[in-house]
Amino acid sequence: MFLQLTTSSFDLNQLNQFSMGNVLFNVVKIFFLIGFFLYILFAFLVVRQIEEMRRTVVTPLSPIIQVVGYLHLLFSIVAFLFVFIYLS
Amino acid sequence: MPDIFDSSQLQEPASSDSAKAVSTNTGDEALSPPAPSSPSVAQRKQNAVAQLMEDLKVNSNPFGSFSAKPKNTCLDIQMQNEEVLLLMRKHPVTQIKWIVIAIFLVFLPFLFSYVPFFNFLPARLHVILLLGWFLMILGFSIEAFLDWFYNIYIVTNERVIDCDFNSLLFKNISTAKLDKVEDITVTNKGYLGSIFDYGTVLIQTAGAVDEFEFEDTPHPSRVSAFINDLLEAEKGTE
Repeated sequence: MFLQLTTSSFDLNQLNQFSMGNVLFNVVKIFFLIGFFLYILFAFLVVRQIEEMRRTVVTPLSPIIQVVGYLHLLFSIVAFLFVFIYLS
Repeated sequence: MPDIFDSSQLQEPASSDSAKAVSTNTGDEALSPPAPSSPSVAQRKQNAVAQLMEDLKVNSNPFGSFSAKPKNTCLDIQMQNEEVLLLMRKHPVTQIKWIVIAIFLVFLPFLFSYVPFFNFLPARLHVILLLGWFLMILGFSIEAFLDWFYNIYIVTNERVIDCDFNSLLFKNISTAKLDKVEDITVTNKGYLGSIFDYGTVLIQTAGAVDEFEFEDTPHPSRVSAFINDLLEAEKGTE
């Protein structure tokens, strides 16, 4: 009976550690997702900034810079989705 | 027998002089007829621009930091007959700092591969960390480039204009008409400024904005000379 008790307590410790690891991993995952989401907001602000600059100063490179801004936003969205799927 | 002196004949030239004197109070045209060969204000400005373009290599590079009469470039606040004569940005040498930092940051994760700094993290998180790292470097580089490309100094045939985009969504555009320009000071600072010929042009005006600072602009002495030529052209009618 003593052996059964020690065996069950050993399983309980393993279970606790496994749960703690899962919890920590989920917390880290949430932080990463929040970080990548904030980066999407930053990329959106960059697009708005480029639009404002284009409106103020017209240059031959303005269309190319706008395309770069949209690509940057698209890349940040794709990165967020990748993180969401990769860590799930 | 000599002719009898007729004073009326003497008065006629005097009356014509007084008529001219009266007319000078009402308008300048009758005082001295313009010399047929004196150039107009627009012609003087054209000459100043032509002189500048002769002195410099005319830069058609859209990334150029010193462009005389840049093509397909205008401002939303530009007036009807206003033409951009000179467009300046900070000298490219001043941007080397952030470029070197960005390149170093790109290669930094490869240095960490030799140091077991993040070995306590699962392998999946390594990939995510790398992705986030490169995204941050990309965002930093884009912001630094936009800050250099769109912070411009412009001299038109009517005004001097300073466009500043200090941060995300903060815009400051200062303008002053050329006839409000009072003083121009040129400063070359540091050994890089002397080697690569860039410096600060400080323009003091009598307008609402009393000082314009064209910071780290290429060929500051030529900018000063050009603005002085434009001012001379403006004052040529006085």
